Amino acid sequence: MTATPLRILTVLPLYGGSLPIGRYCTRALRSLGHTVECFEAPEFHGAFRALKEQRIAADRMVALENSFLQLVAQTILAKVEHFEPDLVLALAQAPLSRQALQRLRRDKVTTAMWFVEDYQVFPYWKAFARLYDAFAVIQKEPFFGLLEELDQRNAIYLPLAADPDIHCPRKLSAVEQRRYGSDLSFLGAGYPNRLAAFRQFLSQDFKIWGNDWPSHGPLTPLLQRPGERISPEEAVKVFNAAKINLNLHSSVKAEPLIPDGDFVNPRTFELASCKAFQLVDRRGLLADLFMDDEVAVFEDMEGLHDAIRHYLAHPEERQAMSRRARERVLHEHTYQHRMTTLLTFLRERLGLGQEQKQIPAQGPSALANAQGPGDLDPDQRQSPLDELSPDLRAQVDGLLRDLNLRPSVGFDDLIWAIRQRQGTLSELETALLFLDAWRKQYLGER
Amino acid sequence: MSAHLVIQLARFGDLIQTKRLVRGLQTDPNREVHLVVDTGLVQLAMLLYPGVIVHGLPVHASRAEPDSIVRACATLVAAWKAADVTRVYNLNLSAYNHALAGLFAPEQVAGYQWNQGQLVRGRWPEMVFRLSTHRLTNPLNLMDYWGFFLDLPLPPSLVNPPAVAKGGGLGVVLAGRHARRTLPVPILARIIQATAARSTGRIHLLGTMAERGAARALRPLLPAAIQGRLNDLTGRTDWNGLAEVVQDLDLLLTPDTGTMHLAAHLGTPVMAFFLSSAWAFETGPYGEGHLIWQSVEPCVPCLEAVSCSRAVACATSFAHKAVLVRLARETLPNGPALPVPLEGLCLLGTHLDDFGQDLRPLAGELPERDARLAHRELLRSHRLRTTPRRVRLEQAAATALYHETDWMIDMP
Repeated sequence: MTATPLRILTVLPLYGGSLPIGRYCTRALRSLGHTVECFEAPEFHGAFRALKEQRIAADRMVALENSFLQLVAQTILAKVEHFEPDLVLALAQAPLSRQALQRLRRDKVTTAMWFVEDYQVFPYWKAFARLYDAFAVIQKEPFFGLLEELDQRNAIYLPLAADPDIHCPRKLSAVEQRRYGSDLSFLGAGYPNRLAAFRQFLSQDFKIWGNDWPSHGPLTPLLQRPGERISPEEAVKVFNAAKINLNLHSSVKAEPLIPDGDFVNPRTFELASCKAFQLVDRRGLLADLFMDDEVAVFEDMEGLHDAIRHYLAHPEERQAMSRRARERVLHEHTYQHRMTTLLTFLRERLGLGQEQKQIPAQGPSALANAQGPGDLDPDQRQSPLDELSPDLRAQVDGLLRDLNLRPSVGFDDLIWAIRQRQGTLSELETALLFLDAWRKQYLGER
Repeated sequence: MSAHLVIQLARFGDLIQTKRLVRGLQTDPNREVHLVVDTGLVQLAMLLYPGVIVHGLPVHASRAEPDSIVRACATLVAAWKAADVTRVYNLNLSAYNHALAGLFAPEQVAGYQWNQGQLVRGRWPEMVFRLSTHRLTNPLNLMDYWGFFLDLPLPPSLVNPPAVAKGGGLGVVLAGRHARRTLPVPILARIIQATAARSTGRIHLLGTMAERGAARALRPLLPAAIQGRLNDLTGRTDWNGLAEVVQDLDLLLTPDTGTMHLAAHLGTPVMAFFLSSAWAFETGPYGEGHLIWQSVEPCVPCLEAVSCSRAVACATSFAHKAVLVRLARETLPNGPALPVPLEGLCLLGTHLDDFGQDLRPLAGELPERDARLAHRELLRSHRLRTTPRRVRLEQAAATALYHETDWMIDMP
């Protein structure tokens, strides 16, 4: 089995729902053995917010906001120049301006967007979609057709997923169970349909977590730490503590309470991955992702009431379903799966990574698996790692394991990974950086 | 019960153009709707919006005393605090609106917000601001602009009743607030002559005290038979009196005025004359069945603040034979073709769809039709959150109207 490790720059949004998804993608790509650099746009968000507090003319502020976002985009371009990625993977709302995307296209840097939004609710794709080389989406028709009309012919359906290292079953302490536990639980924002639907459960042992819920109203007694955003780590505790996690997809309209939508939200995968029991509303694309014996589905409010009564009375059914749901996630719905699908698509459609030679995915080194010097391309022959003595090479292999890099990683990728480490460097890391500097000076390498 | 506050500090016509928003808010019985307007419009606001709690502020009162202004404002603010306002719709770009927005957290406010003293245009006003930089391609009626301050606005068909002749004769609005948008009296006289035959009832001259001179100047320019039908009401009606007259008309002849919007509000047919800075797509009468003569001279719509180098030449087209013949023979949208081609003018009919008001040309040629249609399609799918009907057409409009800040910052 062979794979082509790539250099990938992931571009996170400044904030919002796609931010954690971008982080999960970054982790997944690294674990797949790719060299990944992440553009941490949230670090710029504070400065952007500050623009809104300067007490200046509104027109001037709008111009400054645009200039600021251009500056952020220029920073990404500078990072691209330095890192020389094979792929720039942007998450929805990533701060890549039109100008920056055009520049990347001129420079023949492959770009892909994972648009993890509802195309009807977030309509700005009409001005940006064609500027990406590929556009991954969480919906199918008619969105595919619309993208094609706008000359975006490399669209791929890529449903959301879970990160099983983060979204995992957890044993909670008695204190945590009391704090987070309830018969019914919901974690998410207070959209109009949820506001209306959840009024029907005021008499239940029901806890509501998340932001954008009205501070005054019938649901107020159910709100836990009103207005606070819940971190992904804490969300896992909430999921694990509840007997039943309600998963009602959002709608900007109060009616119908159960929206007639297609895409499946991240919570569905995260709950399943946590082995947490969920009741989820029927979605157009759900049946392709989970069977009805993996997640319990309701179609209307009456069905939801019935299901709550039934599953509260049958804990063994809850456990069996949630176990099957987690197995399904581990087999098919992790971010590793999604990134593998995306990269395969980009290789087939756009020839991503074709300039690089295929190298073994497993094994101690490229050299050890080669039939002879003639089988290797010049880059691999010249890798300074292959010229190290066995004791040093063993130390380097230890470092590679530590960095979660495959043994066949290129020297430049190793250097990049060392630069990303936090804190002080080890002797070996320092020495390798020194070697890199020496090579650049005397061998003229990048 | 949650209190919602609409801040509308502009003029007569704007107050009526706020109807889609105010009535939209009133559809939820759990909302208590407050409306703050200029003191001079309080009576009208109460007439227009039964069930709404109306507040007055001395915004356009140039002779008010500082003490009374401060006192009025402080009293009002106390009332809002007592009402525990949860949502605010701040509609106008003005220093007054900015100051009032400071009472509320930015996330409470739709429209113009106060953020640590910084004026911030909300996403929707910002988009419409971009749209209005090229007015010819702007398809958005002000009623719909403000109506969409609500995520779920009132359906357009529920805003105003369809236009139906009431049997009470003709109404003639002599002038608008902007002098350049007003037809010269001799041209207005010819229009009245052409239209008078369509009704046997009285002809009511409408306006403020300021228009009494125009009414006097008009009379001798009309034939004796028509003079005998004139009923000069200039300066003689309060808001209730004006509404009673307009309510019963067969047809109202008017430039772009507040009385025009009042007629549309009451379902009285309007024949409007839009020239100079007036652009029918922005401020035309709202509802089914009104007609608008829109000047399409190359310099229209102009800026009121910039002096006209052509002596308001756009006004003369309204006295062309083609217009007068059409006025005399047929004022209905499906009338026969014009005997003489229109020059510098376009006759438009008002229509509604699921998004809002649209204007369809019945005679003459409109400039920038495709670009305006593209903008409208984009706004429609954007605000209704629906699948685009003509996505290719929308693309160019999207490139102009969607900026990086939307794509990167807006929260779905």
